[in-house]
Formats: sequence, structure tokens, C-alpha cells
Amino acid sequence: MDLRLTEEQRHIIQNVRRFVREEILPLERDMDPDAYELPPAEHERLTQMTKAMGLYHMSVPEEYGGPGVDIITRALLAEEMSQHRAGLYSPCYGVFGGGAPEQLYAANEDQKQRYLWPAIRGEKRAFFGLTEPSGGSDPARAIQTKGVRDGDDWIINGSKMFNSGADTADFGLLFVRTNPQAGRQGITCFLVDTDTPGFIVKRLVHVLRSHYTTELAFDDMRVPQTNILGEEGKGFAIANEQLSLNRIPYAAAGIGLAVAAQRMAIDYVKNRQTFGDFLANRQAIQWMIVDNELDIRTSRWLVLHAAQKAYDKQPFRFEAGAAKVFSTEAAGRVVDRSIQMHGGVGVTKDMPLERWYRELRIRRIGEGPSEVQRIIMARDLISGAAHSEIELA
Amino acid sequence: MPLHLICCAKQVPDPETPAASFRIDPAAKKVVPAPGIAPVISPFDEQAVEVALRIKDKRPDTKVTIVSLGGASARDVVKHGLAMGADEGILLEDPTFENVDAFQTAYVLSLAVKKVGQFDAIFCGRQAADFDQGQVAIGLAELLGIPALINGQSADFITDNRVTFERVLPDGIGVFEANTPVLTSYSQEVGQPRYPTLRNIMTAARKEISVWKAADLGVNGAAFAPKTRLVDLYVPTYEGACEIIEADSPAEAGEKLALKLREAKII
Repeated sequence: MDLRLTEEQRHIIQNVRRFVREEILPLERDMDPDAYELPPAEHERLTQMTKAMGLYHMSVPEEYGGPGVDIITRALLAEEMSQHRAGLYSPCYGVFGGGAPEQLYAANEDQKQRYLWPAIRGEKRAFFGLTEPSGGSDPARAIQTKGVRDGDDWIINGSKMFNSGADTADFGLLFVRTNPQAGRQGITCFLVDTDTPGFIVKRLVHVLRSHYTTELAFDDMRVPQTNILGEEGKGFAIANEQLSLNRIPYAAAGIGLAVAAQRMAIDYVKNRQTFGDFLANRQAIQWMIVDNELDIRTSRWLVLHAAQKAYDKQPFRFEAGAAKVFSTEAAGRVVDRSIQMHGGVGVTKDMPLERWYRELRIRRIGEGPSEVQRIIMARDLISGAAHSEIELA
Repeated sequence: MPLHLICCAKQVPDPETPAASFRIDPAAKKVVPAPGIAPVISPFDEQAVEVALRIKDKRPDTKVTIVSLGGASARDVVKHGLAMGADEGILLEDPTFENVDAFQTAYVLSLAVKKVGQFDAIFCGRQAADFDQGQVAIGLAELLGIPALINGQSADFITDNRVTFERVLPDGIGVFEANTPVLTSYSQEVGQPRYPTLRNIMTAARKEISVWKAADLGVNGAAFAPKTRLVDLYVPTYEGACEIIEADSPAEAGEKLALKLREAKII
């Protein structure tokens, strides 16, 4: 067991930390406090820089021409890349690329040519279509979007909700019920081009964060059989695996905000005086700072433990859930305390704290709400699949 | 003929360290490292490495060697240079090298350069970002008996034996030339140093760096004696006082203010 960073990790983190400090933060000072994208010329300039650094599309494996940065290092970098105003939902404004949806690596050769490679080259953007107006926490039961076979095609009807980026994407992974009697074995994943007749962006849904998501509708949308990703009826497993893996960087990004908020709070209380003394000398403030740090450090170890398990190809669903629940709740607490320490200035748009406070609230719901994570974790604990003892295996 | 460029780089406390975290130990006359903030390559030295690498970009067979004098942690500075694209790294580390002054640093570096052997040019930062003395580069040139072109923004090789060097002046740019071997030093006008690439970071992590001790360099006791003594190290304190000028009218207040400023010899 070695909790130290490797030399490579230290250098890569320093690199990304410098990038945020020297490239992102100066630009952000002149941008609208709710901005979620860079001016196109700046985006292009910085993208060229991350490509030259070899960190563009860092999740893309080496055999696909990417840097193949491992999940542990990606979790560490997710914490660094989010440490700016828009960092939670738009880390470094996307200039490090996003890679392709992980599920596409399991696609067949024809699908790889049509979707995976263009996504890696940055020619096509994807969205993830799982949640429906009927719910997102229990997709196996909630999915009502129906697919009916018609010769070599499927006719899809229904709707989806909270599909970020679907309005600008070129294609999406759409989870559709193709066998109403088969429960979770009745869900199939389709690769759907957004210019397919019957694909409708019904409305843009504005939410707490400084951006919007979408509601989609499908009206007799015809999708060829050849666009089924994986096998018919195996879509739920595809979604599930990916959701567990996503929870690791998802959790790490929140820690980045907490770290930045804690840094700002400590700096502030050392300089702000009330009633003749610095805030830093007040016990009420000191306890908040320590509670912040306990939240940050606990979150980080939970995230790294989950990442280590995923890296070692061991089951990591429980650990990813624990990291997701704790770190998203903890980051909310840290930012909340940091605002309290700042007083009135903390809720102004002069500071990023108010945006972080709003956007972090969503994290307790997105990628599986805290309560659902707890249900899954409870099942594992009660069944013995997870336990409290030191793991020896 | 491939060129051989030597870059000298020092490890310093991160200049971005928040002022509130800056501490000194007055008794030991040392800066106390800020906890949790890793020291970094001195920014001017990083710019010197950048200039050397720009030459290597044009002439890929150029060999760039990074040399750093410091404690074990200065290994990171050498590795940083390698990650930027340098080929070899040398760490000059020995208990006797602790608390060296600028002359001693230049002296040890001169021995290291002689041990390296053939080289065409040396690249240094104009001054270190911690004590800002700006003496090591010119001291090193003096000890090696080679010309020094200092505080530049760029350099290039006109031929294998002659360099051109640009320095920003108040009213323009001065262009200088010198025969090799030559020492050059650089300032912020160089512009942004490159970000290490992932590939180079991986390569640098695997690369062995040479560690040379005092005995390896033949450091001579008498020649190694310090030439300066740090008498005191303290953080200056600034006192602010506010005086309200009271008057019946703005004009009178202005007059009184002007008189006060005159008395204080500010205007």
C-alpha cells in the first residue's frame, strides 16, 4: 500500500495546476460570472495547448491514439481541473477534450468507424440518453421509450429528460425498452443520429446550474438494427457499468471546488477583522476550517480508493457510490461554510462561491442521487458483498 | 556538429505562495517552506531552459543538459527540465552545498560545467526568484573565462561557433553577437515557457539523473570559502496611519492637505 503520488502524477498535476492558474483564471476574470464556455478563439488556442501537452482526450486509450491516462491520475486531475468558477460542470471549459463515451470502445467495427473515431477526432459530439420524465433513479423500470422492430429497423417513440448537450450533439446513446416483459433485460442501447427524422429537442430545461439541459421526444423515429450498441436487451448493463465509472471523476470534481473554497476561506479569515480581532482567531471560524478539511480529506481518500479498485479491475461499485455520496455532500458543506466565513461578500457574484453553492446542489442528485446510492450500498453491506473489516484480498 | 547547451536551474519557494503563508526563521536566517506548497524551478531559469529548447526545436540533434545545485528536492527541478524536453540532468547535492552564497554556487557550477566537458553555451535565469541577487550567472562566466550576455529575451546560433542575442532596452532591442562558448542569461521577455508534455513527463520519470557530490567535483576548501555573509533576514513591516484633514470647506481642506504633503516632502 503506497499513498504517495508517483513522480509522473506529481508532474502532471503541477502541469494542470499551472494551466488553470495561468490560462483559465485570467480569462475567467473578464467573463460573465455565469459563463459556461470560452470565446471560440480562446477555446481553440487552449485546445491546441492541451494537445501539445499530450493531455487532450486523456481518457482515450493509447491504442486509439489517446494518452491513456489511468483512472487514478484522472481522478487527481479532475480535482485540479475544477478549481475555477465554471469548473464543476465545465472543467477548464472543455479544452482538455472529453474523449468518446466509454461504451463505444465495445462497439463493432462499423460503429467505431461511424461514431467512435469521429468522436475521438472531435468531429462528432455525443449525449447520453437514459433518464426519462418518468424518472432516472430506477431506469430499469422507468424507461418507457419504446422500440418496435420493423424489418431491419426499429421504430422508437417516447421521451427523455435531462440530456445535457443533446441540442448540440451529433449522436446519442439512447436506452430504449425493446421488450416490455423482460424487465432490465428488455432494454437496448441504440446509437441515434440527432438529425434522424422524428428526433425532437422538445425544450431546453433551465436548472440551478449556469446552463441548461434538454427534454427530448421521439416520434416514430426509425433507427437501423445495425445501430444497436452491444446486444439487444443488454442495454442496462452497458449503462450501469458506465455510471459506476463516471462517479469517480464526478466525485473528484466536487472536491476541487471544496479545496478552492477552503483556500479562499482561510485567506479571507486571516485578513478580515471583526470586533478588534481577526476572524481566524475565533473558535467558531477555526472549527469550520477544520470541518472543511476533514470533509475534503475524507472525500479524497474515498475517491482514490474507488479509483484504485477500478484501476485494479476489481469490483468498485460500492466504493464509487461511497465516494460519490460522501464527496458531493461534503463539497456542499465546505462551500456552505466557506460562504458563511465570508459573510455577505460570499454570496456576491464577485466571488465564485455562490455559483459553486448552486451547482454543487445538483451533484447530490445527478449520476444517481445520494439516497439511491445508499440503497445500493446497503444491499451490498447486508448481503456481505461489502464489509467494514480491513480488506485482505 | 550537434550543439551542447547547459542550463543552470535553481529550486525556489513557489513565487505564487500566498503572502500570508510566507514565513522566515530569523534565528536561522532562512525562509521556512510553506507547508503543502511544493518548491518550483525559478521562473527566470525556466525561461532560460525555454530558450535552449527553442534552439533544440530548430536543431533537434542539440543536446540540452540541466544542472541544479540544491538539496534532494532539487531533483524535481532537474526532472522538470527533462520533462520540458532536455536530454540529461545533473544534480549537485552535498551537505557542504547547503547555505552556499552566490559565489560558492557559481564556483560549484563552474566545476560541474568543466566536468561535463564540451559545451557551446550556458543558459541561466537573470536572477533567482528567492534572493534576487543576480550574481551567479556572471560569476560563472567569470570563473569559466567566457563571455556573458545577460538579461536577454532570445538567442540563436548564427553558425556553430557564434551566437546572436537580443536584449530588451528602454528604447528598443539590443542585438549582440559573441563567439562560443558563451554564457547567456534571460529575463521575463522570453515569454511563456512551454508546458511539459505527457510523453516527456513519462520519459523524464524513467530517466536516471546524475548526482555529483563535492568529492566528485574536486571542490577545494579554500576556493569554496563564502565571499558574503548574511547579516540579517527579516520581513519588513509597514505601518499605516490615517489622518483626517478637517476644514470648513473643500478648498480649505485641499490647502491643508497640500501643506501636510509638502511638510512630509511628498510634493
